[in-house]
Amino acid sequence: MLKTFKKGGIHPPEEKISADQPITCGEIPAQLLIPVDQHIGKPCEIIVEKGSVVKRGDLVAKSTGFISSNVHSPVDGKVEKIVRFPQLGGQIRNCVLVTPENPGISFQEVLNNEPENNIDIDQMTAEDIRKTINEAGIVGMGGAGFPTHVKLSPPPDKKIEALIINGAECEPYITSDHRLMLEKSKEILKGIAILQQLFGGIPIYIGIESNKANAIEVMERECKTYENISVVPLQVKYPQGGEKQLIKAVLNREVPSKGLPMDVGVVVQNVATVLAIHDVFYHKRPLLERVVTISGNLVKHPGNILLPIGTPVSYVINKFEIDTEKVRVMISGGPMMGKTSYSFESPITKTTSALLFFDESRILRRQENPCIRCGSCIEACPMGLAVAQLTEMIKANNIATSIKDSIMDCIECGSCTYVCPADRRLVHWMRFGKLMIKREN
Amino acid sequence: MEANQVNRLLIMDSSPQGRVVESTRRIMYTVSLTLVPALAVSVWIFGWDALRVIVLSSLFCVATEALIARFASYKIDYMDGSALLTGILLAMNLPANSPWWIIFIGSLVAIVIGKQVFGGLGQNIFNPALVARVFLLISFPVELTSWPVPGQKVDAATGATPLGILKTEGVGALADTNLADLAMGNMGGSLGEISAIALLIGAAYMIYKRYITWEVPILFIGTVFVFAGIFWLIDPTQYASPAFHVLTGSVFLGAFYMATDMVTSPLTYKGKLIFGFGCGFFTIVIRIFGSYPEGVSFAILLMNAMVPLLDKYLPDKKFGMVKNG
Amino acid sequence: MIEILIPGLILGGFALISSTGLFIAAKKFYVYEDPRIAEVTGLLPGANCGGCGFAGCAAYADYVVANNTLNKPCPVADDETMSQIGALLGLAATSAEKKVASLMCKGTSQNCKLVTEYTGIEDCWAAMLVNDTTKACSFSCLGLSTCVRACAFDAMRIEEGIVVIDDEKCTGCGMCISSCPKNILHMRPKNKIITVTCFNTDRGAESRKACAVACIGCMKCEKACEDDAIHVNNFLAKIDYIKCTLCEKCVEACPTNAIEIRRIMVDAENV
Repeated sequence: MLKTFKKGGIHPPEEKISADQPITCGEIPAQLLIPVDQHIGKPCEIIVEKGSVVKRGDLVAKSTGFISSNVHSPVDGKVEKIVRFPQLGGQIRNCVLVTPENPGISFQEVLNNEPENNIDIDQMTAEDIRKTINEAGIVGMGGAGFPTHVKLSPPPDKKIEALIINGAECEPYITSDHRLMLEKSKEILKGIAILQQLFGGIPIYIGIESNKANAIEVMERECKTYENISVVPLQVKYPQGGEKQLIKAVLNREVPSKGLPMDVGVVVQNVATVLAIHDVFYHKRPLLERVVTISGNLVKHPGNILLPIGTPVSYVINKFEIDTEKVRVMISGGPMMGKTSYSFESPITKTTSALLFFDESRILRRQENPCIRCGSCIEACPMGLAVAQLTEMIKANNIATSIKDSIMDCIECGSCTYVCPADRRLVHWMRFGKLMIKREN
Repeated sequence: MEANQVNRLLIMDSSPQGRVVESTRRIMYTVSLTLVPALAVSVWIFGWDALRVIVLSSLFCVATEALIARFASYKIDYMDGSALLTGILLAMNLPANSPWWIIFIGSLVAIVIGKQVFGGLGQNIFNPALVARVFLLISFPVELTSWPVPGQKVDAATGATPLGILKTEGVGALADTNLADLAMGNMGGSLGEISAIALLIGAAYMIYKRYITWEVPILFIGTVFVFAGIFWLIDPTQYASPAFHVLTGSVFLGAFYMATDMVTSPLTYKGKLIFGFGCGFFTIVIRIFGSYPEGVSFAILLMNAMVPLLDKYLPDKKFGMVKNG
Repeated sequence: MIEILIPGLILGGFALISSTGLFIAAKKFYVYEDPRIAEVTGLLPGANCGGCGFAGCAAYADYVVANNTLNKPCPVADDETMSQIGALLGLAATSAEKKVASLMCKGTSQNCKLVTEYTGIEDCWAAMLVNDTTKACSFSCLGLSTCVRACAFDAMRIEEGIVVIDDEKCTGCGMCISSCPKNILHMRPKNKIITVTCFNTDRGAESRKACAVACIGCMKCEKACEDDAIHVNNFLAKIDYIKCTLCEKCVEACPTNAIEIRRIMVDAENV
């Protein structure tokens, strides 16, 4: 019996149509739009200007606080200008427009030219590790974008007893983490070892959903050469990859309401983030590129491609020959929690795990119908919230103190909205409710 | 840099993108379909009269809602199947020989007073079909209690239901009623009261599709059985057997179709348990101590009134609720 | 006879006891409230809009009578109402400078093209959760009626994708200002009928591409104005209403029609 979380959850069609496609490498595009707002926390301060020459790995925007993250240039080139441009997800933010020196050359060449770096893990202190990760601009690459060094610096009264590596990848369509585990298992384990050193040798569990049987096999094989690192196969259920659900499944501990994983002595890191940590130490490379799954019913040959941060979506559209006339919905991330976008020139960010292109057949039915109190949303909610009642109260602008905690507990996974027969935009209402609560304060 | 060079705009909406195939219409029409076995039995037992009642009731309900849709300030989809379902359920609560004007008034009451004055679909507190039935029962007691004798194809003779006999003449008069007859539907009563087995078939499909869950029906029927059993054990000459109570009247119809109506039943687990228990309890109390032979409709309406309270004070356990320490 | 007498006595006795109790309670728990408070509340418009800074008309009446001052006039009440209130309290009536709300955007569906089809909840704050803008100009009005719903005086409506304000019905209470997530609703004096209907601080070329009537920051208005009443900062013109003399020179000078004269909406006497 595979482990899983008990409350709620749904089973959307997995659609892992790109799972067998090995990671390919693109070419350097003609222009890169490097966004400076790719993380949760304070936006960065741009430290280059029009005409600046940058080299691969140079800092272009500086972190402005503890909860902030550096941004670097993935290519050698020149800064054209600073523009405000729509991002994937609709926000209009500042970007650094860089013209690469060598557009069109294969990105693989750039990677091959990088030096290897030998490190002695046992000599590194926790502070060193955190500082290096901070300077490298590493954020949670599963989609949230929380600065990693903050997650790895819990206050002294929170003792961390276990580390969970999130290889669940529960969203439909996305296979980038799956391919990383298959192709870069050694590097991932080396990255995990660094984290193990940081936390002083605690047990480490790698949670992987059972639909990635080959990844489980490969990772289990690699784990054998390490101590205290094991793979935990998990049942396929959405949202298995949500932090709280993952901790419940792997360790059977419930993160308390309004709490964080460190409250139960756990830290969770995404597989891609761990690989980025490996790259920082073993290749002296800050976070400069990531694997993105290109999929959806309009992509004839879905695949997984390694792209430098700042690549515009139009590059992907050309490379995968997507018919833009047919595209009606473009999602960055997965269909359950990903954000829609409207511009084909928006850039890839540190947190873009997938780009999905859909046509008319995937459009939401438009009209919201009245709630019939069927209770499907309550059954589906992994946090056990009374969704129907909460959203009715939010809609009536009647947010009582007694329900504020419940609303803030929502992880916005989308399970409720997915099952609602009345097409109510439940997650949107919950987010609206959270915004109203924040405005009140 | 231009945003897009194409003519078509991309759609933006909050996550998630994607839905299950289920919709309100589908649920309503599917539930209506699950009532077909019971409707078929009623036509078999009571003849074309039964079909007349069913058709008229459905028609009047949908027409009433369509009329209100023209004047309402909010959008009403009168073809979404909810009015049709109310019409069918109302028909199942009426005797087969109901005059057309009874059905007409009942439909008006069900849709207008039972549903639309509260704000439309999803807003009503009381089950609309039951509101109509109780209204008709109290306003036109004669028409609502002259039950046609089963097996006739023409509405000539009328007779009492088994429950009616129990109330007026006591247990002794029921000596020759066959439980199997009761289960199959060979007895007097409203269209929906008669065949427990036909209703079970429909209910099984609804449970399979997860439109209803087991808590309310099982607790409802179980409570009726247990309490009837207690009284029967005390004095079998005065009180009928629990099996009799469960198979007569609209206990099955009430437990599986009326009490489980999504809009008017609780959303929380504990709430559903109390709701089912309460319905069963009040049914027996009214049947034994009240002056009406049948208590299901009143019991369900009483418990409907308690649903907002149950939902508010018996919430489900959230993820991450720690005991205060 | 006795069957009538006994119930009569019992009920009469109850009535006597209850009324005595009520009488005692009324005397003992009596709270003196200045009757003028109720009268002032009656005179006030009764919209409870909060424009005065108090929680409602009753709270405002409380303040006014308790402190016997009209130093904070009700922005919604007209001059006659204020002088009536003043007469009641024995004070000279003052009235606030009449203000109205004004939308700093003219990005109608003609002027500013849509860049996306938004199908979420019809509310501007809800839309901001999904994307920053639905039109080519990122500062534009979303047109999803949040301010229309906030207005207690029915002075706003959506036309061609942006909000249109009825200057006659607008009482200047200010409730719509905070309801706009894009901060493009601002107050202006009712009689100053010239407004810059743009809030775009992008460079001229970009603003112009986004919207046909955008302010491009060309500064022709600033040069044309002889009263030092209009200035351009961050590629956006802004009128200083204290100095504006309504000479309309800036309106003529503006090459993109970004400055508007609200002729139709205002009472001619107030100009």
